[in-house]
Amino acid sequence: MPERTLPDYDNPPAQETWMAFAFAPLPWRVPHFGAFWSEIKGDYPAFEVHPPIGEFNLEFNAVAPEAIVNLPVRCWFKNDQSNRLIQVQNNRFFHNWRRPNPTAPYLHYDELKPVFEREWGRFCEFANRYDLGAPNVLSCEVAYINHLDRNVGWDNFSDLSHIFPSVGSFEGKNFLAKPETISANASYVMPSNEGRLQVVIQPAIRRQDGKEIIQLSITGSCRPASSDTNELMRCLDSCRGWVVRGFDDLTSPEMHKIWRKK
Amino acid sequence: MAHALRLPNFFGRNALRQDQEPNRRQWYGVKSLQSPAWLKETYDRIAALEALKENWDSYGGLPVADDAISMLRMLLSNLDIEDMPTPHVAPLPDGGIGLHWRVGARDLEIEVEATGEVLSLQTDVGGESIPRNVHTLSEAQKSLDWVLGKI
Repeated sequence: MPERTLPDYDNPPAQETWMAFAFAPLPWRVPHFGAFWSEIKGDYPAFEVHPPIGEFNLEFNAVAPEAIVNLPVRCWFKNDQSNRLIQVQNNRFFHNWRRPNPTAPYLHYDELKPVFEREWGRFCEFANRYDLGAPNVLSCEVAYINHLDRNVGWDNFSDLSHIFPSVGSFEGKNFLAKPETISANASYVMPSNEGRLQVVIQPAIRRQDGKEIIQLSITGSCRPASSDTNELMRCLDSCRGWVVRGFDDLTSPEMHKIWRKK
Repeated sequence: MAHALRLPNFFGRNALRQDQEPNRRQWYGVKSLQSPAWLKETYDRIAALEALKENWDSYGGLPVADDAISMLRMLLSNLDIEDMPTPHVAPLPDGGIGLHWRVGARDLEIEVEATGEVLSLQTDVGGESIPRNVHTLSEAQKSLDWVLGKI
């Protein structure tokens, strides 16, 4: 059991977490998705096709002397238990984990990071074998999606200070009453401008059960000094440290009791 | 005479809006409670109906059943309702709950029975009412698209 020096909780509200790398675009074309899937299909038997993340080029010219077709996509590869997902596009690689249902046990970072490292290794080995080159990683990302269910420690969308003591009321001086809902988006710079922590607070409904929640998304991203695996893993640890400390710092002691802070 | 197949040509750089980006990385599906603007108010109305006691209408009306509430919330969180106007939400005497929209000459009632079963009733003003059992989200979506005049 690894020693845990960061704030830790027995029952954290995290419903989903992902680790991801963004890299300089590889010459990754449609057949590579299929070839890659055939190698991981034993572990990830289901797939979905989605639009890519970030900016992308669309090109389709069927009547040019040499037809041009460039329709970028992002493929999802899902495991049998529907709790782990790999997302691949020509310049990004994600591994997501989610709780199969809101009350299922939480899987800790210490257990997920080796899985990510293994899958990233498979991806790099594939890229190498298909002469796509070694990914030049530009950014590492760790995100936690937390669902704070209504009536579990809070009940009013217009007063978030019970959960986030630093969030204001947004009540006007004279004219405006309390808002119906509040959402917030904040970013924080890491030391030496190494990266950023982005916090998004959003009133939402969980599609799985239609329940009202505050979704608290915390994403740490930083630029690695190289694409060496040790450096990439160090960056992930750094991002994750920021996410966990940020979560602990922004949320109230009352909520920490509900989440059973150790 | 045969016509040549015409294929569109398109080029361009594209990206979704920055504020849509974070949710696209995530797997767990959520819907913003802030869009459409009436959604929070409707959720509050549903919560208020949850508290109704037996005989709420003084004609022996049953309390709104948990299964009906759950199903209605599921519908609202999974259907594309962005273009819909504010619905009228009302309890039904048999423990169900209903949503009603009128858009121009079209009327739509979505009724969730106490058992969680869903019915839709489409009525063109001056025309016939068409009742349907709704078994899937796509069937419910078709009713919404109909009242908006999309189909």
